Amino acid sequence: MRGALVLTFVCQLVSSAGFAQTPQADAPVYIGRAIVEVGLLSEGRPVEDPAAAALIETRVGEPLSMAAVRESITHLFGLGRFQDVRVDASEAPGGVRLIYDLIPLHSVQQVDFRPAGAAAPGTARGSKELGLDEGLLRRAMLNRFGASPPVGRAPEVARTLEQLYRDHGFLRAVVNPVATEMHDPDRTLLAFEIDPGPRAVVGSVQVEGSPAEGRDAFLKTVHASPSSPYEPVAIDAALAAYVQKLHKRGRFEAAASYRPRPSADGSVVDLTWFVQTGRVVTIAYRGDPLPRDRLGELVPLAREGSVDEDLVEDSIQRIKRYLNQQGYWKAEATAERENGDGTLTIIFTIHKGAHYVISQGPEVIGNRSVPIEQLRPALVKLQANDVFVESNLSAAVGAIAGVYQRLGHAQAKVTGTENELNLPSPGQGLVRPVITITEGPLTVVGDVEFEGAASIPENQLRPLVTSLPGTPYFEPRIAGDRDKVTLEYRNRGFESVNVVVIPKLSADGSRAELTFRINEGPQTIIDHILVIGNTRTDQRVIKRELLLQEGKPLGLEDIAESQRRLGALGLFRRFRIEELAHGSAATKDVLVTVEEAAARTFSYGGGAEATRRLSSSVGGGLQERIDLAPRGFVDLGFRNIGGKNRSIDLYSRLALHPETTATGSTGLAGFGFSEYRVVGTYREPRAIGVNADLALTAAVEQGIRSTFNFARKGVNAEVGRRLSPGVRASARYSFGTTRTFQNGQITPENQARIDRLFPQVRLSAFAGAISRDTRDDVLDPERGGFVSEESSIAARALGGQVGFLKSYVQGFWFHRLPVRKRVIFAGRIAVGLAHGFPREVVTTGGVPEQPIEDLPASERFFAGGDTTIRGFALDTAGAPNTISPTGFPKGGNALLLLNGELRVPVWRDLGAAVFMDGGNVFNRVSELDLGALRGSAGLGVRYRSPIGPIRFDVGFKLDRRAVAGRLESGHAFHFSIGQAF
Amino acid sequence: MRETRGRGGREAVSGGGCLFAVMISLALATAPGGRHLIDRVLAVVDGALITQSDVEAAMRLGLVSPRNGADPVAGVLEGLIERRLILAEVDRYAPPDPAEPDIDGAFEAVRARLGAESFANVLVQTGGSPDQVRRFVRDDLRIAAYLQQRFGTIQPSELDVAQYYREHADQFGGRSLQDARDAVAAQLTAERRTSLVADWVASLRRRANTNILPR
Repeated sequence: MRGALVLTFVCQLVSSAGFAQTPQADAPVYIGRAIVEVGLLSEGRPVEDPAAAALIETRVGEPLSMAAVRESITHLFGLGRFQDVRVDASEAPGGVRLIYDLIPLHSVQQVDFRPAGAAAPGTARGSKELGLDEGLLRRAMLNRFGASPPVGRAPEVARTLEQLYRDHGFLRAVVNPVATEMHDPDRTLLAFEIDPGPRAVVGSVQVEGSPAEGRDAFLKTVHASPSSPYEPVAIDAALAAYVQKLHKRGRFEAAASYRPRPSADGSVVDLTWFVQTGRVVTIAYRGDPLPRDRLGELVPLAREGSVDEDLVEDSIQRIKRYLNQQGYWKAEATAERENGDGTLTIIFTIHKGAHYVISQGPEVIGNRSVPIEQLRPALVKLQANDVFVESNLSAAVGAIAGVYQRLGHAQAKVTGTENELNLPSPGQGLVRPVITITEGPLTVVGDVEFEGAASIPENQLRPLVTSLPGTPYFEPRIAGDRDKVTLEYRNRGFESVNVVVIPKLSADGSRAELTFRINEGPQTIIDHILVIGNTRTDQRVIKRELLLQEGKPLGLEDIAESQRRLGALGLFRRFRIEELAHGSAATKDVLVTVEEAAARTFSYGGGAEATRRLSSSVGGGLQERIDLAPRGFVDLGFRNIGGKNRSIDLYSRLALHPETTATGSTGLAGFGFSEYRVVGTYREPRAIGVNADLALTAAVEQGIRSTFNFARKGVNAEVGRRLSPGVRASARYSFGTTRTFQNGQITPENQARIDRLFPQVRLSAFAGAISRDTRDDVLDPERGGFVSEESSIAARALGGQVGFLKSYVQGFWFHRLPVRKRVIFAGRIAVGLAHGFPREVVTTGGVPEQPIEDLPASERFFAGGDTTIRGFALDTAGAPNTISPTGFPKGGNALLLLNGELRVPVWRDLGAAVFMDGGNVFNRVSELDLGALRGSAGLGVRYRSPIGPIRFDVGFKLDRRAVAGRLESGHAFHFSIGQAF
Repeated sequence: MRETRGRGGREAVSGGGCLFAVMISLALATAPGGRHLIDRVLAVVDGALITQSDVEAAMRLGLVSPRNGADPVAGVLEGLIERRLILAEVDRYAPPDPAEPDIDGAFEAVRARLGAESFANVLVQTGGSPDQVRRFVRDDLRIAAYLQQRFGTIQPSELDVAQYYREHADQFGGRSLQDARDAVAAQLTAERRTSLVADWVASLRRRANTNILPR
């Protein structure tokens, strides 16, 4: 080894002499010189990582600047993959060569505690060698530093462990951390080499004071007998228990402490004890009694184990407050101390005084501009015969002052006096509170000005302010305006903005000029956006969800919205957006850390279904039987395909029904008809280069209904795009065919119902839709509106059996009325128009076969029911020629709906509604007639539940008519979840 | 495999060390130019970096007094770490901004201490800017205001003053307690304030995630 070192030294000399290099050259030698090469190394190997290279600010050809070096270090460190970034400079022809040495993160994966001098990890160890139990050491580390503290905190861990040793009597313990880096994979083994030294013993002991149990017993109790091991942590715990025990025995003044004096070598500790057992304290009550069950709460001396003067005073105040709340307005309480021989008695003397009641409602004086009706809500707890509670009067005064301030009487003064009346009888008191109002001038906002708004034009700030000239001067509203202006600045990257509103009152107090004084501070621009933690997800997928962009301001709401959008991707278990500060306040990096969720999901389940079904009997009739069918499902999902958030989901469900024998019995002939459903879905956000979301669905299904079976196949392709936060457009193509078979006895009405849900023709249609949604709440809106239009075309040329054109337009409006309660007016207009291309088609499987002219039933319009015209049962409204001779609705090609509803809160989450609905269905568009609308009116009850409003409505027809020879029912009941529209 | 020891700063190269050392030295000797470390990370405080150039700038501009210890770099690094922790607290409570003339004065004092030319050179050599120095001294003033607000109201009782005088009578030049009362109270207050601030900083340190990289 010595030879090798000599050779090394010689080589270094050669190196220094031959190339005239100064081994510790300073950075200044290189600063300002042209950079000719920039390299990235990690553990001696070149790094080929475009993401890392893009973060280097020192570029070839530019002069070397230390600011750029530091920026580069910050960016690279932000990737979270390196524990250090070292930048080396060296001479190169024509300038400087820079090497960024990226030291990979060697996270600590194992922590050992071993006696000093032990050869290697794994050396036998135990509490004997370590002095303390290893579990205790590990817990001490875990509590403050976690299970795997970083190497940089190892010295702190060592200090903590040394303190732990001292607390256990090892006064000269030495703990030395040793970190061993390992590679492939990169990790660190951290060991703490421990020399506990000798454990101290208790030497001489002095006791000042007289412990009740005697000196030796006391020392034994607190683990401090001479020659016993010195263990401060045990002594402290025993001492606390000892003092607490004395407190419980009524010695609230008891106190004990000790002073240790260690010997020079730390092996012996002399102790001096100070023990004060204190007097036995008794608490006594005189005067009017208090409820026994409230004493502990009102006078917590025993609970606290203290006779501190402040606590006694606090107890007096608690007693008085309690009695005041009971109507004893002038209750008094005092406390005095009575010293005895080794005892202390604290005597509380209580005088409740008279019990006060309000004789009649409060007198309000001076309310010239505000009617008493407007102030009455503030006076509800000051009514005649109420128990008089002083704090209720104060609350009323505060509430009235608030009313005046909101109205612009900024200088209003409101005072309250109890106004005691003559005592009606001993122990009884009467008051009639008087509230005196000095309204002062009505102050309105004058001019509003902005000072210091250099970066945001005034015309963009002014709309944020609601305290407009002429409006009442109300400080909370002005504070809200200030917050809005502040938020606007923060959203534009001015994170240290300070906005102060300075009001300037006119001499008569009637007008206040407002000046928004703005200290903008620096604007923070995003330098780099760093994304880490994504192993499968394409970085572009993450970045496109961010509203944050490099070179743009770092806005507060942009961060919040970006986080929301990252969450909506559904790709990550966890994610975080952080700001990384630079040397300059003007720029920051944004670090996006994600933890990806599993790429594949698989779920399955099974069970059995028991249903009563009708089947043919031997005699040709129908019989009911119990059908027990095993069933199961499998769902397989692939997420984030290609790292671009594409997903495929395959779902299949199968139920095996027993075969029916000729006798109608089941279970002996094995399985017969099977119900199944197989659905495949492909989703691709931002697909096909048009920034739109694509969804493809294909489904095959076979099922059983009570009187028929069906088989259905279909494909659906939809492209949707959000054009702005409230506007969405979509286009869809659908192809589907349904066949019914093994039909039983089906009435014409039931056939029409079947046709409604199972169009037994091949349908091939394109549809387009656009909507604008400005509602403040989708489930229960207060404000805003929703307008949508959807058109579709089906044609035989597209492979279908029928052709038609169809359009449906609807608009909803919601408005909160300007009254104190939350009263909402909701309105709707909907128009549907359709035109079929006539051709007779015979359904593919229907028995009896149904010729279809025009639109199939599933595509026609219907009206009536809980979301359309509520005086009618579902689908039963329509012009006479849309109703069959038996009274069954057939639907039509035109629809018109008009709705109006007033929603009123009643009590807590319960509300009521009154509504008026109108509309009708017409056989042809040309027959649409505003004079032929059917109307209904009604009322309902609403309950705002966590899952949305639960609704019960009853609607009454405004004009009952005879349908199919019978008079219609006059009303209809509806129960459902969600508002009608 | 590399083993780093917490105390003594010695490094050990594992087995095969002789040959490895020779090879490394040869490689260095035959390189076209020596590589010199110009910057690196020295510590990470709650995710924020303190680099070698930060420490150098603070030392050369005299912005941070080194904490006790023989190694000035380690001392200044400790000072910067504590400063960062305190600033995080100051930002949470946001004391009033210092007056612009006060900031100007503190900034000019730093510049005057070095002379305009040296000041500019240090900034170039450490990658700093006048604006950064200005913000640094502004933050110093904010810290001072915060500490004053939080720890500036300590008033020892007469009993404490008398006891302190008894224990440190030799420090007051033989004056009686009556004569030295104000000086005793001032010294006691300053000592208690220093002690309270030190305890507070230690508690911040305990709560923070501070990683000092081995040098």
